[in-house]
This record gives sequence, structure tokens and C-alpha cells, in this order.
Amino acid sequence: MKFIPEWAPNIHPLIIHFPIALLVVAVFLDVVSVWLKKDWLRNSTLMMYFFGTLGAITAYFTGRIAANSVNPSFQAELTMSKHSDWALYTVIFFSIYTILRIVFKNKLNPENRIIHLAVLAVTVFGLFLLVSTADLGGKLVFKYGVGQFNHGLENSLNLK
Amino acid sequence: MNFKNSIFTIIFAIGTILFYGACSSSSKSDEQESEEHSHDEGSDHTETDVPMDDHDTDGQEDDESSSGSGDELVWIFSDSDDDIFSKSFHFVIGSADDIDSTVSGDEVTLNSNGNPSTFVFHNKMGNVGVEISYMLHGFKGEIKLVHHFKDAENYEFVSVNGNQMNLGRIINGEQNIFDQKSFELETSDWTQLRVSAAGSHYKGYIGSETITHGHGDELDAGYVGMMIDGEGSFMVKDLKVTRMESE
Repeated sequence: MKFIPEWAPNIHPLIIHFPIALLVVAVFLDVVSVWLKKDWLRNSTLMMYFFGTLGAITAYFTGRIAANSVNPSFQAELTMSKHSDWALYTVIFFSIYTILRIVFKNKLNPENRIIHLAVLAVTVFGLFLLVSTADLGGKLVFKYGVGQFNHGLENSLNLK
Repeated sequence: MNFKNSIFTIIFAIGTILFYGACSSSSKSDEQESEEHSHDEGSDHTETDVPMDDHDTDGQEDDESSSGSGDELVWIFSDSDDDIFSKSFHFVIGSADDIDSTVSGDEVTLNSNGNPSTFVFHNKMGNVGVEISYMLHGFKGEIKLVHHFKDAENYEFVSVNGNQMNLGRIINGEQNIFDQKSFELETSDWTQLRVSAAGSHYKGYIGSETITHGHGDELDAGYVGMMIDGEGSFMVKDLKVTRMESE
């Protein structure tokens, strides 16, 4: 049994949905936990950040490998370059953020809503990085056809 | 949910929306600015700040060398041309006298006398893709596709020397190789060499296969062309430069 389905050009497209889903849900649970002060909810939120960050790191490195296995048009190269840069910023942000959240887990007083909201405001920046990275990745596939086997170059040339 | 909680929720929601909106518009502004810069660069060919010689880079001359689009430059020549270089290029190292050329249809055979020579398109470009097909005929030496060329001591390149590809840059005369690999060289057939310089990412392809991939700071826009450092002859065709535009 093949680990990567035959329709997939590489493992990267199978990985990317994990950080997107997990980190978005983490932020959502974080917002909920401002008002619903339950330990299980706060612990679940941290778990979401942790696994979402692991997913982002995995997606970043599989993406680096994938970038050398495709043959994009020149115009797609620029989008791919930006996608890679934004992905790196996202990984750096969530790695630092998640570590700090775990380390200072007990310092973040759930009763202090102002601090919790301030921390959430920082998370929104991370969410912006994540969304921007995903947007560029989506463009690569659906606008330029990158990774769609031999259709990529042909499709993007037709667009020009 | 009490009144205080509702106020917090509303403030947080509005803050989130405003922040995301600000980031999005900032990102778009950057891209628009970048695009405008690219267009500005497109008009650079009327400038006469050509390094190392006093070639007159006339705007009309540039139009003749391009494929009709400001985003692509193609080397156009014919066997009736006395000088196949001057329409499209100017020499920044050496001169046309260092290279004998023979045109046959859409192909040209270049025979270098061993003196290093470099010819570049008249336009300056930033993010750029370059492609060329070549076939070696006993040529011994290095063929480089150069971009972000400022002068002989400041430029970026992908070079092929036999089956060895180097990707790197020269800054103030100091060479920095980002990546180097060997590839399977087909001596009896055309080899397509592609170079991509997108932001801080640089790649060299043979056909559809990525051979070299490196990263470095983005340099100012510069000239794009070809450097020949070796002796003997080789054939080339389909030299094309594509400007990458931010969207």
C-alpha cells in the first residue's frame, strides 16, 4: 500500500490542512475560554496550539521538499517564493507563541480578562500569517495548477 | 452573558476585524508598490547608465528586441543580420569580436575565442525568469545566465560547466555559491536551461527538473543576459526572459 495516493504529487497537500484546522480551532477555543473558564477547555486549547504548530512545522518542511519536485511557470515561482516566506514566518510565530503559552500556562490568570484578550490579539496576528500563507498556497494550486502533474505549466501559460 | 462581557466581546470582534483589514490593505499596498516599481523598471531601458561601456540603450531599439510584451524579452535574430547581438543586447564584458556567430534558422552557433564575454538585454529587471536551449559542440568552459547584473563584480548567476551547475552570486568581486549539483548532460541533443530569481529564492532547472535551489537577499534590479567564459563552439536557441510581476 502506497503512503501517498497516486493522485497526490507529494505529501505536502495532505499535511497542510492540519495546521490550518487545528490553529483556527485553537484560536476559537481561546476566545471561548475567555468567558467559559474551564480547565479542560484551556488545556484543550493548548493542545490544539501544540499540535497545530507541529502540523505547521511539518507542512513547512514537506513544502520545501515539494518545491523542488514541481515545475511551475515563472509567474508561479514568485507566488511560491512568497508562500514559502510567509510559511516560515507562520512557523516561527506559532513555535514561539505556543512555547510561551505552555511555559506560562499557570501565570495566565483566567480571571484577568484584559490580559487574556491582549494575548488573543497577538494570536490574531498569527492567524493573519496563517491565512496569508494558505491564500498563496491556494493560488499556486488553483490559479497556476502547480502540483497538478503536467497540467501546471500549461495552465499557467494559458492564463497569461 | 452580562453587559460587561458583551462589551468585551464587541471590542474584541471589532479589534480583530480592524487588525485583519489593516494587515490585508497593507499587504495589497506593498504588492501594488512592487508592481509599480516593476513598471518603472520597464522604462529603465531608456536610461544610459550602462556599465563598462558607452552603449546607447535607445528605447526604440529595445522594442525591436522584445516579443512585443513588456514582460518578456526574446532574442530575435536573422541570418541577414550583420551583427546578431546589437539589436537585443549590449556587451558589458568583452565585445562581439570575441564571438563568431553563424545563424541557421532559429538557431545560432556561437564560437568563443576564449576571451570572457558577457552580453545583456538592454532592460533592467528584478524578479525574473530566464530560459535558453543549448547544445555543446566541443565547447570547453562555462556558460552563465546572469541576472541582477550591475557590473562585472556584482551579479547573480546560474552557470553550467559540462554536467556541473552552480547557482550563486558575485558581490564586490567575491563569489558566493548557494548551491551546486551535477546533472545528466545530453551532448547530442538540446538541453533546456531555466533560471528563476523570485524574491529571495533562486533556482536552476534542466528541463523540468530542479537542479539547484538557493536563497539570498533580494538585490536591486539589474541586467539579464549571458556570460561565456571558455573556448569553442556551442549552439543556442530560444533565449527568453520573463519578468515576474507581483499580483
